[in-house]
Amino acid sequence: MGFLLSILLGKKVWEGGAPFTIGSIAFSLAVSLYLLVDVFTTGGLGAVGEEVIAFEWIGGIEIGLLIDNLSVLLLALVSFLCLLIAIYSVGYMHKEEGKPRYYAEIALFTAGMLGTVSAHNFLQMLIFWEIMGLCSYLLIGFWYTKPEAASAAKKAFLVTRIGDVLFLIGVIVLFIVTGTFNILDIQGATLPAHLITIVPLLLFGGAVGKSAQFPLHVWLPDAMEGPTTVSALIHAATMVKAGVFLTARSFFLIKESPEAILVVGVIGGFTAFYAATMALVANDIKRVLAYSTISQIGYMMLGLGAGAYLVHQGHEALGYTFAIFHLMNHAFFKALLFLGSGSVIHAVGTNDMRLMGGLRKKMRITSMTMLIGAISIAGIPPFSGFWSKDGILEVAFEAGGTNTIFLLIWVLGIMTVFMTAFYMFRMWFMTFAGEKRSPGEVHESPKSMTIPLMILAFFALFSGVLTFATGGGFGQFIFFEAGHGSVLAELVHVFSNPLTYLSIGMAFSGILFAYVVYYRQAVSSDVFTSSRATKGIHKLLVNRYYMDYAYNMFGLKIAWGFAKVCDWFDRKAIDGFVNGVSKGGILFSKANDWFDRKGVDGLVDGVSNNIVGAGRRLRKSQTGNIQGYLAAVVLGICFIIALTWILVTINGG
Amino acid sequence: MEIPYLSLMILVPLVGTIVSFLLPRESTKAKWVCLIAALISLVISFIVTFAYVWSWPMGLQLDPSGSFAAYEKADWIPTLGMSYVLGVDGLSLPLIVLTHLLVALGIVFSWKETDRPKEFFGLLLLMDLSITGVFMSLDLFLFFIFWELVLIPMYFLIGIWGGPNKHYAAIKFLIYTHVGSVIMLLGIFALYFWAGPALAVGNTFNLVELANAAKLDPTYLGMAFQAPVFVAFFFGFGVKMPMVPFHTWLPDAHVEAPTAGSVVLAGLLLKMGGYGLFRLGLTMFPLAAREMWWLLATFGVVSMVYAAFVCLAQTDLKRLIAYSSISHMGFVLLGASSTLTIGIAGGIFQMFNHGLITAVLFMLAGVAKRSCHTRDISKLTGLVQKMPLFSFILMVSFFASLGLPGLNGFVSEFMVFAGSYESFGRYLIIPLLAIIITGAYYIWTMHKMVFGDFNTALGKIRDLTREEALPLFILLAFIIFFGLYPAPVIGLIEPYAAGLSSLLGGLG
Repeated sequence: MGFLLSILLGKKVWEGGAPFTIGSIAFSLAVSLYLLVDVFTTGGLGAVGEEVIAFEWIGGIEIGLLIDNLSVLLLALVSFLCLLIAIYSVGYMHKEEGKPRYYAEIALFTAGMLGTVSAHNFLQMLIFWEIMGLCSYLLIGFWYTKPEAASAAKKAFLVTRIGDVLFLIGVIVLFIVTGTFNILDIQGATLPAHLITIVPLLLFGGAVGKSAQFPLHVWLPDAMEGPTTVSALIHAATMVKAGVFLTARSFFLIKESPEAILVVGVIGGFTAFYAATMALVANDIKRVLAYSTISQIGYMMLGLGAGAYLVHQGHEALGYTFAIFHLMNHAFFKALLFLGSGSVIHAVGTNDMRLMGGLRKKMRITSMTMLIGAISIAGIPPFSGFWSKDGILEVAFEAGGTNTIFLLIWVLGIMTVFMTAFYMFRMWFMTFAGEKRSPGEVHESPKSMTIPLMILAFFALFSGVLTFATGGGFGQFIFFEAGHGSVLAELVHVFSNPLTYLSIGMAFSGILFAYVVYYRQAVSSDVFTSSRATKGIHKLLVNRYYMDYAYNMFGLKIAWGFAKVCDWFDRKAIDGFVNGVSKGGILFSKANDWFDRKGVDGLVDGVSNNIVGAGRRLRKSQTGNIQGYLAAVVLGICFIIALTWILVTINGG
Repeated sequence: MEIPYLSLMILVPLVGTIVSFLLPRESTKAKWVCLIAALISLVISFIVTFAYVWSWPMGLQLDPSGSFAAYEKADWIPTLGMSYVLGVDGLSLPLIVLTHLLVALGIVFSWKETDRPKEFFGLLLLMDLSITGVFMSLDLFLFFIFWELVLIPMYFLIGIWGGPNKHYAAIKFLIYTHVGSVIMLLGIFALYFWAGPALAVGNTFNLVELANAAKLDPTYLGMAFQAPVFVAFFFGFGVKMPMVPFHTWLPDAHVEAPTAGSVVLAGLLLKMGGYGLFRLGLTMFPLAAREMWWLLATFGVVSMVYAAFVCLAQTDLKRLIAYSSISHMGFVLLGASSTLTIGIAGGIFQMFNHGLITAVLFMLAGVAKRSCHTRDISKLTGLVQKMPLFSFILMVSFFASLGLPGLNGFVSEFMVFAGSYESFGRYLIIPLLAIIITGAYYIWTMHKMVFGDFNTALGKIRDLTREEALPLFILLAFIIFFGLYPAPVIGLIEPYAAGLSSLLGGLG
């Protein structure tokens, strides 16, 4: 209940600056940590969870919290990261204008995210989900005078909205079929056979939009126009994970349908690969990280898909465990990388990696912490990224044993390991190694920025191992799965698997390749851009597979064109018809008038004189004189009454 | 002691109107007279609402059947079956409160009006009187009188205080909606001459008697009677709502109308169509409404999607809002077509919400015109730098209108969609398309108007003045409050919606 209070607290900080935001988030963190410890010391709540009903909102729909292993973990994670990044912002946003706006939006965002992960019904989740989307929109457009930022904000809102509408339909269908929004109640209900596939896919549609998965990924790279802190918080560590969270929340629906499982797995695996290829050629440091985020979330989706497949086959839900594990680890190291890049951008004043280089000596803490992040994401043991990513690939391979599609996805996943290592170290070498290419003096960032970096680096190093230390592996804390038992057994399990060495090998070769090209420069990177074989591919990648182009074509040309046609139709056809009818009416009355004058008038002179006289009087009254009109209306009503009365008499008589 | 609250709600504005017309030509007191009259009516409507919801002993006159919150009846022309019957229930109460609220705020917004002020404010109050009359009349004849009375002040508001093309717009508005009324009048006659005798209540205009009898015998006279008469009413109300393709009077009327006129027009006048549809169309013709739900649904969905597309191509802010009104009123039709409690309640709630939101939007368009002297979206750019308050309200109201959760528009749209899933199934994706397009045109407009570089050609512009800010913030407070906690209004509407739903559902 104290947590609800913190949501409210977070929202109220409209006027205040950083201290209020940081304070309220810290309070949320304290409550979340308390919950985390409480849940885990009592041995975990397993699949059951605990509901806290706050109050009834509208007829039968309650506002409440669902506290289970998944939500406490995310609550703690989110409030921790929000806190760190809010502290980091104090240094990063120091010179910016509009700080109250910034901190208020960050606080509102935190409330939205915490509300999403703790919601006990889908409607409530949807509401907080949209609040996050709103904050994302506002924060991407924080520098609103910059046209690119405003466009990116617009794009982000619209593209994710497509996903949101799918989510909305999914929630409506669930509500109609089961009569409730409550997640636990829905778990108890059985869906009719024809909805068993479509419902989880609709929910997954929302996840695809929010988590920037193919084909709705186009907004995330552009969203990098916002402040780097925002990119780190919303577009790497938290909000984009909400899609994974939603997929995990609806895991119990997904695992029932083989088709849905396949869609989740394929979209995840393909996105992981697809986004990584685009990261290979990006020159903007933040865009590299953005593609990397998309790619890593693809891994998580793959883990969920493959895990659901195994559950469907009657195995344990290892994939689920590793996906959430990866979610956590990724949140640490990606936030680290983003904040590190923010520190670099802060110092150099550009996003373009071609203008950086040689920063290692000047920015020791930044470069070292970022190196840790890069190693972690590349998947080198014992850094955190290795444990979870390797687990996901292992699950995918296992699923591939009985399903060739998953085997193909696994191949993509392994190739992605190589690419990930390559583009990460390409980034690191371009930024920190070699000669200095940036003009002006470069300084290390202030303490409020470097301390969060060091804290995150610590987690990026150890969060993988920490989970062993608590005994029984990470899996014990996440439902559906029991874990492998002791630490030693887990270690033996991981390192006795030949696949582990394959993925480590891929990672090392990726690093090596980057070393050769971007550090030693033994092979010029121009080879790839100019040689005939790879030129086409390079162009395709730089242009992001022309997806943006295609969407623009669709959005601007087709929808726009259709809108223009509708507008034309409205003005010319419908209104033209209306005006035509009235013109026809006028013509008809003119014809009458003519007939009246020439035909009737000639015969009955006196009568028509009277009519003309009445017309004159009528015209006289049309002078904008309101009282006159009112009198006419009263007369008209009297006329209608008289007419009715006559009709009644005739009818009744 | 029983107090005739409902009659007072007609009497007070009537006195206010007469007083303000009788004032000397250049008097500036008219606005005070009208504002006070509107506020008194508002207070009365609040008393009735709260007395109904919490059963306060406020001396409401109740009807014998107990289906109305308050009910007042007097004989009028008994030989013709005409009587003076007023009554309010969950359908009309939210709309009545909305009426008084918007008129009062419209008066505040137009506080600086200098062109024939006493007529201007007097006519606004006359609108208040006649629209309230429509929402309260339970006698078809009385209903029709108020229905037609609404046209007069609106005609003059557009025709005298309107923009450059005001005469065309005013005449178009008058003739167009009048055609609808005439066809509706035919329907009223049909009820009077055939339905009354068939339902054994005789020739009467009393809607309560007719409706209660129809409730007992919902299939009376069969489809051969119900279908054509239902369609006649549907047409009459559909023109008012308006639904595509009978909507083209609306954009012209809005573009030319003064701001307060637009607020009343979109906020209240359109609701008369929706109100009539529920009060008459669905209640009096249960069989036809049940069988012909597809008619409502089709027109609703076409209005929603088509008007949304047209919005995308608009350059005039007011025209954009006008078309978005058409699109949003399509939700009401869709909700009505669902015949489920949640859908019907959603449709009614949507009318209430749309009234609040669209009033804000039109006031903002009025501010843009006053301050920047243009409503051309392509010229209004980067306004946040010069008009932060304006931009803030614009963003919140746009988000409310595009259905962002946490703001009131979402709740009713969600209810409508939930209600229509049953009948639509997977085709629900078509009306949902409207939501995406709505998002697109609002975000696009916001992108242009709020963000980006300030258009220096606009020169020195000001932000909101006090009398503009006050009504806007009051409305905004309602938008946010009912977005977070819609239960009060829904609780008010739900019994009515449940009753109507069981009437319609009882057939199939």
